[in-house]
Amino acid sequence: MKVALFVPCLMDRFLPDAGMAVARLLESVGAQVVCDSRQTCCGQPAVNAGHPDLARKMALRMLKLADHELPVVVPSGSCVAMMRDAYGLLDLSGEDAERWSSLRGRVFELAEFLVHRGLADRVTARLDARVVVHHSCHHLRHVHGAGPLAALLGRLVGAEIVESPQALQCCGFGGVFSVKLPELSVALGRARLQAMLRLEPRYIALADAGCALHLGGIVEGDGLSSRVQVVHYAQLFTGDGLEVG
Amino acid sequence: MTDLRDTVREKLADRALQEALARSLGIVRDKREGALAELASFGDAVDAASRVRYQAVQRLRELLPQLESRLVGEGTHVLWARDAAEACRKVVDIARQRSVLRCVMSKSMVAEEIGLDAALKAAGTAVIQSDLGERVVQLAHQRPSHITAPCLHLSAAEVGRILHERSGIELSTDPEKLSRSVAKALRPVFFDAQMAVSGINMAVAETGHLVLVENEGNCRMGYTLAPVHVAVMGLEKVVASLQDAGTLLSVLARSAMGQRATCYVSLLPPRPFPGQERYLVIVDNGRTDAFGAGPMRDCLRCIRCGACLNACPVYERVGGHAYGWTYPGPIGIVLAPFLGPSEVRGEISNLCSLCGACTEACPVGIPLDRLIVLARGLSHPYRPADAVRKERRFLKWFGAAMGGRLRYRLSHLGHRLAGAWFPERTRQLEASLGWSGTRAAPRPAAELFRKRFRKRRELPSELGERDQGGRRDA
Repeated sequence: MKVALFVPCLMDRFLPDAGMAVARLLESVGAQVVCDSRQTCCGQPAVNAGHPDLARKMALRMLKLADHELPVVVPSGSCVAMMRDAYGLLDLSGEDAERWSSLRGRVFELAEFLVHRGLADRVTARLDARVVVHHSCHHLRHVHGAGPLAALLGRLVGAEIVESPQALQCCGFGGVFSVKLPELSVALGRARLQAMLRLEPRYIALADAGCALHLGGIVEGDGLSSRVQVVHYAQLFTGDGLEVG
Repeated sequence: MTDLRDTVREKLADRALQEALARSLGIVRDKREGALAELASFGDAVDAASRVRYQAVQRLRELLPQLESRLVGEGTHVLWARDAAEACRKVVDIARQRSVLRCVMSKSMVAEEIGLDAALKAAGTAVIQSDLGERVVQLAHQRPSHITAPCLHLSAAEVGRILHERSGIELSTDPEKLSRSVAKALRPVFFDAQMAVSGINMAVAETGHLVLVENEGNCRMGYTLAPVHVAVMGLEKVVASLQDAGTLLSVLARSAMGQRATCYVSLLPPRPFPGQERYLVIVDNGRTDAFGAGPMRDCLRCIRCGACLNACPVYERVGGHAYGWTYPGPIGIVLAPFLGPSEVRGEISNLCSLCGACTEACPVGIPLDRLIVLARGLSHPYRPADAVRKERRFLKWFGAAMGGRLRYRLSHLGHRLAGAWFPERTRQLEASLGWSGTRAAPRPAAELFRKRFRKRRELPSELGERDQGGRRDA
């Protein structure tokens, strides 16, 4: 089976290990992964900042590049939510609207794709570590990805998966929010982090690069890097970029 | 509004506020969870309530005249007000005609919105708030910080101190004792008042009933005893039938404070009590603008339960006053472009991380997080022009960097080299963008994922492995 992988800009540039993990995880279940290197950003930052006119070009570019029949797999809940729903804010018409309606039906978040296509059962991986899962809001509430993620994580032999008591509450990233009100953003992140650290995990796993960079930045800033690593959940399966010990 | 970031900093540093918010919202969230779990399917109840409110808003032009004719036919006066000033003027006129010196007011968000309290006072009518929370903020010369719990920003000890110092209530930290003492102190006020002002929760078009919900009984005392009852409502509060009102009642109290039902539910029939005059003031004050604003119309579905505030992680940290006007929280952000004063219309929509907890909590299905994105689009004319220009310039630059394969790679390389060659300057730039202090900025990777992915594909051994995998599947 052939799949088109879209590794969003933040992951591509700041967390390439996670991108590699996603590609390898897909390949490990027999998927043939193609990745168009002309893909850049889905346009989410401009839409969420209230400038849909500035997002249009990026969205149209994305739609053009995804104008094929393959399933598009994206390891980011917020980008999936963008392409599936929020492109509706851009007043697309004609050919663009047709491209969007085609894409909407075949764009999937990674775990969602693996579980819905019955591929998760083929995943075999082992990780002897305690992992705390924190949900990314768009993944949780727009993609409804908590179920598929739990099912996929269930395939991780040896791992102790625990959910933080604040797992359903926003980590404080929020895209433009994280830079417009940084003190508030960090205060929220630190509160979630402290709740998670009480569970003494080796890894904190998320479904969105933005949230991971935000929480990871607080971990680093607070000098906690030796205790815990913030990762994309795909990394748990392939070991890409995982710090051990 | 002062700089929003400064306001937020100040709220975060306010220990007493942080404690009060965490404590109160923790209790409310737990109670709500319990109250929802009791319903066989809260989802079904929400679906039904959403339909009721959606249809009521769609049919406003038909329901409002129907309501008016039901009420007028039975002797209730109906007054219309285009804006806050007109609404206040009409209520003040009623008070003047009857030489009202003392008026008792029960909790009403729309009265708060139009500044009715101050308008009456300026016209020589003393106003006593009879809701405990409203009374506390009135005595403290503050504004309510929550839609259903006006003094949620205060601890029980602070409430006790305010009541003791400003009203001579015996000092206590026990909420029940305080509420009993205040109720006792207010008793003569009700007998003395020449006019009662209340909000309403719903007005039923078909029958002309006014529905009021409350926990303290102060509202009922007010409208029962005073010779004149003035009810104020936003024009969106109409519902088609008593059946519909019941559907909303099944979610209202549960969503609001996690109660099965409020202690009192009043159904005022359209005919005033013998010897009493009743007025219903129907306030527009920007609601017609919201009605005509495409998808933003959904904000008119709101039943003011406050569930979105209680669920909001930002509200939990900054409290209601940070929003700068009557309606705080997610619903305050989506109402601001239409009902809010122009000074809050600019920055209020930034008090949101778009997490969607509000949308999930809303019992009438308002897509709040989606509307907040739209509200941001409406906010720019009210923001400082240079801030908007800067933001658009940055996003245009970002769009350009994302506009092609080569530009994408060059911008990454530029970011990486800047960090290596000018670390101090880069840190300053990151700080000016908001990634500073104790949160380390993300570092651009030495090699993009896409490059690593392509390189790996070119390795013969790996290619062989992958091809096998591909064939197995095909």
